[in-house]
Amino acid sequence: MLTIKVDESKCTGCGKCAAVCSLSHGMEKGKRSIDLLPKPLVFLESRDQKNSISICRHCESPVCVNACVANALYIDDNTGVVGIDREKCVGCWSCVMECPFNAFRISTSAAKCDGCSDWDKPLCASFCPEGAITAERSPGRMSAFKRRKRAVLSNCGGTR
Amino acid sequence: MKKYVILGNSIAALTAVRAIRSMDKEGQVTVVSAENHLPYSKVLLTHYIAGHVKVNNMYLTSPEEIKRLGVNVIYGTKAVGINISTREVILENGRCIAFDSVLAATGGSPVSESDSVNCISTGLRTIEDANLIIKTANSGGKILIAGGGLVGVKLACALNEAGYNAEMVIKSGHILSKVADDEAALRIQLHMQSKGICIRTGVDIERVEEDDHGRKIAVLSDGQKTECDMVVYCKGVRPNMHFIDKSACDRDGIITNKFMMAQMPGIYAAGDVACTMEITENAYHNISIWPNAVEQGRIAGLNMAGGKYEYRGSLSRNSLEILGLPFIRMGITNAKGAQKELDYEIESENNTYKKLVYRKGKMVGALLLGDVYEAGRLQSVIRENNKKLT
Repeated sequence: MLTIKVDESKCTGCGKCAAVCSLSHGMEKGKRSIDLLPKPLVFLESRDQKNSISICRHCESPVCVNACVANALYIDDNTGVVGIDREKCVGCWSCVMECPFNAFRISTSAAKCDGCSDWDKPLCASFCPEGAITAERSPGRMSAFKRRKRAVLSNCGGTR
Repeated sequence: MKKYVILGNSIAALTAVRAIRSMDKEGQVTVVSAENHLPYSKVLLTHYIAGHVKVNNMYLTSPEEIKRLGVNVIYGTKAVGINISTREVILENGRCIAFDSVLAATGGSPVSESDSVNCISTGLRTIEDANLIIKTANSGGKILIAGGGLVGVKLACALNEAGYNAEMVIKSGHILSKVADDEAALRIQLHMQSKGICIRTGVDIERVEEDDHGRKIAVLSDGQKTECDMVVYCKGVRPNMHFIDKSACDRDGIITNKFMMAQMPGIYAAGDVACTMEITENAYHNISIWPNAVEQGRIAGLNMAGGKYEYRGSLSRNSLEILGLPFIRMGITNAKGAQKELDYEIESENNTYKKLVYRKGKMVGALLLGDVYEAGRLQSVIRENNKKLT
């Protein structure tokens, strides 16, 4: 199970998280061109001298999955990651309307953090020099209650 | 062993069944489905018409899941009544099913005025409706959309994207009059017109007649005439609640408490048929939107199986994409009366429009057009600001 925590006050806006995210998702062989790199799935913005990091927290009871009319969003039972099937997505903006963490961007279909499932830890967290993004994979299934306490869900207010 | 009966077979019903099974593996679950096939996403019908989605991707569940859940689904029938004293649901064919708790998740049917026009007319609520619309459009027929609500707008955009001709006839002064304010509506209308969709406001379809060449002509209330082979009514939805005692219903739905129970013990309601507390208006309303149906279905299911979970309250909200222009609104965005109490904060630029609505310093509504990425955060602010102190 995956828990991602964000402390925006520690963020200096260096952009390493976005860079490694983009790189790690564009590593297929024979596709090595800067122009072909995909857009990062962690979104940095800076407004009024405050940096904001928007990334999926992989909630226990995700409101986005509830809201998805196309059945494109799902929870991976093995990893706890909230995933998206971009083939099914119709770009209706429902997930954008629901997610309190602003974790979605939509071009033709929605894009969101995939939890770097083939790495030991999400790369953005491993490379963040300030500890603004931290991540933890816990072995086995944790009880919903325990996990909710650990994840930062304060303003999520999701259903049970 | 508890007996559960679920009336309806769409997302609220399905989530309720999943919730029941998460708590009660033994109980006997019967689902009464009016349609003859697996539930599919009705919200996707316009995307289906536009060609964005394949039929196979529209189904909400699979035969395997139905089997795994151990549910008995009765297809092609409806409930006509509930006998409270014998605790039985009465079906169309006279069959009775005993229950310990029953969930009304029957959804709604489109309001139609099909008697007044003598050409093909339909609502847009089922896949058959959608196929009929595609068939008419494919054979070069001219489709007239009556009503400028969300379904009407989505349908007009879908037909436009698929390369067909669509015309909207809207009774009120502007498009999306129930959800958007004048400025947003005007921007949306201009955007749609710039893409080639014809929109007539302030008029209604009076009648459809045949001219000398056998062509169907719609006569509008202002006397104008336009060709029309099919009328699609997008004038809202009425809840299907004929089987419930009238005293438990409001005009627009079955009134439920915070446990999603109707005013009769053991009878629950969820989805488009239910009236729930709307947090910004602080009144009972039927908010027929997908995320609410999912949440309500889950709460109802858990409580039917013996849980005691509270529903957090509905927030009226909509999101849609209008031919490349995203639009999200939530809470109070188009207040007609009681304007004095409300304060507005408006940011208006060339391509974006943002309006925040406050009541006594608390945010009660938000409307975003063009740039909508703030929506999720605004929703949590609105929910936080309108929490009931219990």
